[in-house]
Amino acid sequence: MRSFLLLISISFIPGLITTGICQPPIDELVHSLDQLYRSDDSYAEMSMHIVTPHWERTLTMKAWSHGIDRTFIRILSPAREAGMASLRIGTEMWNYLPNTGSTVRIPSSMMAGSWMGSDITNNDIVREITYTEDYTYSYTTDTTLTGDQSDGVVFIELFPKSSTAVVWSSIVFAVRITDIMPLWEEYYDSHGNLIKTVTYSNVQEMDGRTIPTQMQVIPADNEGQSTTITWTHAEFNRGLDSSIFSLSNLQSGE
Amino acid sequence: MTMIGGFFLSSLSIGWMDGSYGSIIMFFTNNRTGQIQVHHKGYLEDPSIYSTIGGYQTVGAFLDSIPEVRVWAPRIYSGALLAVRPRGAGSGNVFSNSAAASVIGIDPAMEEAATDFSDRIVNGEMLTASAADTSYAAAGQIILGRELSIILDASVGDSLVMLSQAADGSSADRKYVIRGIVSSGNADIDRNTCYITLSDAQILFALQGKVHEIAVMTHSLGRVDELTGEISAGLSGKDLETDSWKTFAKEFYNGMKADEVQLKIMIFVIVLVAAMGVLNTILMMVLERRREFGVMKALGTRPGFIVRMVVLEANIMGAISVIAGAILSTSGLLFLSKHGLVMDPPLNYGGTVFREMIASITPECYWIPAICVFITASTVSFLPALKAAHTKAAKTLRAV
Repeated sequence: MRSFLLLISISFIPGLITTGICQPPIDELVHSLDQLYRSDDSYAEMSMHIVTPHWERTLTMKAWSHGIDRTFIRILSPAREAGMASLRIGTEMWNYLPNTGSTVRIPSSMMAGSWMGSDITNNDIVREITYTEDYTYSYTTDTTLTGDQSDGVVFIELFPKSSTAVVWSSIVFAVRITDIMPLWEEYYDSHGNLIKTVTYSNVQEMDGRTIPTQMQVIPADNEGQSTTITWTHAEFNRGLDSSIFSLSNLQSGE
Repeated sequence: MTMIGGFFLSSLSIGWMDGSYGSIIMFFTNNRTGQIQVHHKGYLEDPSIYSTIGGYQTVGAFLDSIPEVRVWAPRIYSGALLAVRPRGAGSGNVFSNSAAASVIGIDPAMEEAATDFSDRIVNGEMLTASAADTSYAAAGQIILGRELSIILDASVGDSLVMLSQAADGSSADRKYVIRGIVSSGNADIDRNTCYITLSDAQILFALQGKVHEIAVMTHSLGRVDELTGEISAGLSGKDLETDSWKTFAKEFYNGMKADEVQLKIMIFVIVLVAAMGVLNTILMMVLERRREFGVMKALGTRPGFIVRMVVLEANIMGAISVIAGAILSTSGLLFLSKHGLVMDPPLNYGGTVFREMIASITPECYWIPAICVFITASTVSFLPALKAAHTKAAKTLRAV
C-alpha cells in the first residue's frame, strides 16, 4: 500500500511541474516580460526584413527610446527610404519624409496602418501598454491554446482590461521559465481566431542584458507574409539627450 | 373612361420609370463608373494594388475597335495619407493637418472624354501634364474632393504631402500643389477621394505601364449586357474580367431593382382598378341590355354567339380606349420628357443626388398597357357575357 502511494506521488510530479508547482509567481513573470526590452532609455541598431508574396526587402535602422512614451527611429537603408524617420511622443506620431523635406503627423485614423510596409502597425509603436497594468492574466494549461506542452515552458493567457484599446481579445504567451525568456505570443480575436503570431529567438547578451535579439511577426490571414526584426546592437540606460525626441531632430536627417 | 384612364396612367408610369431610371443609371455610370469595367481577375472581390492590368493600351485598342464603345478611361487606385500645413503656419515643414484618402490616378484627357470630369470641379482647374509624370522627385498636381479639402482645411494653390506605399514595398511620398476641388455629388466619395494624373500614380506606386481599372462608356444602356459578353470574349485568355454596372455597382443596381418592383406593383394596382371599372361597366351594360339578349335568345340566337358578341364589344371598347389613351399619354410623356419633374427634396441614389427626373417614350409605354387593356377587357367581360348568354328569354320579356 505504501509503495502504491509512493508510485502515485512520483507519477504526479511531472504533472505538478507543468501545472503550477514550479511556476514562478505570475505577477513576477509578467513584470519580467514587461521589463525585457524596457529601460529608462535605450539605443538600438536593427534590421527589419519584410516578406510578402509580392516583394521582399530589408530596412536597417537606428532606434532610441525613453521610458515607454518616447521613441525615435531613423531609417538608414535602402536608399529610397534612407533618412526617413518616425518620432513618437505619447500617443502622437510624426514621420519625416526626406524626399519632400516635410514632417507629417499620423492621424489617429491611420494608427492601425502598417509601419513602413511591415506587419507592425503605427499603433504597435505608439502603444504605451504594459502587461501588468493593462491586462488580466493567468497561467493556462489548455492545450488547444498552447499546443504541445514541454517541460520548462509555462503559458500565460492575457486578457485586455476594458479600458485597454486593442484589437485583439486575448494573448497566449509561451515563456521559458529557466531564464524567463518569451518564446512566442499568439494574438486572438473575440471569435477565438488567431490574428498573428510573434516568435522570439536568438537570445543574446547585449549591454549586460539577455534578450531575444530576433522577433518575427507572422500575420495569420496573410499567407507567406512576415516581418523579422533583428537587433544587431543595443545599449541601455546611457542617459540619452532629450533633444533626440524632437521635431527639429526629426527633420535634421541625421 | 375607366379603360382610357387605366391605359393613360399605366403608359405614363412606364414612360416615367424607363425615363427616370434610365437617366439615373446613365447619369450615375457616365459620371463615375462607366457602364462596363475591365479589371484583373478577382480585383472586384479583393481590390489589391497588385491586381493590375498590364499593357492596358492593348486592351484599349481592342475597345476602340468596338463601335458601341464610346470611350474608355484607365484608372489606378490606392490609399494614402495626405497632409497639409495648418493655416498660419507659414512655410514650415510640419504638415500636421492630415487625413487618410483614396487616391485615384486618372488620364486627364481620357477621363474628361469619359466622365466630363472638369464639369465637377467647383474650384480650380483640371489636372495637366507635369514633371511628376516623369520624375519621382518632382512635385505633382492633385485635385481633392470637396469634403476632403474641408477636413484638411486646404484650398487651391496649397502644398500637400502624400505618403503611401508602392507596389514594390518601397515608400511612396511626394509633394503636391492642390490644382482643384471637385464635387462629385456624393459627399461620401468626396470626403475621402483625391485625384492625380495616371502617369504620376504609375511612378509613385511603382506601377509603370499598369492600371487597376478600365472604365468603358457605351453609347446606350440597351445592349450593355451583350457588349459586356463581347468584350469578355475578346479579352479571354488575358486573366482579365469584364463586368457590367449591374455587378460592380451592385448596391446601386439592387436599389434600382427594388424601386422598379415598387413601380411595377403600382402599375399592377392601376391595371387592377381599371379592370374593376371595366367589369362594372360591362355588368351594367349586360343588365341594361337584358331585354335585347332576351329577344335574341327568343329569336334563336345561340348562347355562344352572345358570349362572343359581348367579349368582342368589350374589346372594341378596349381598342377605342387604347387609341384615346395613347393620344393622351403621348402628350403627357412628351411634356415630361422635355420638362421633367423637379425632385424636392432631391432623390439620393447610392450617394448621388438627382434633382430632376424625365420620362422617355418607348414602345413599352404603349404595348404593355394595350395588352393589359385587351386581356382585362376579355377576362372581365367573360362573366357578364356568360350571364347574358344564359338570359331566360320568356322570363326576361315578361319582366321588362
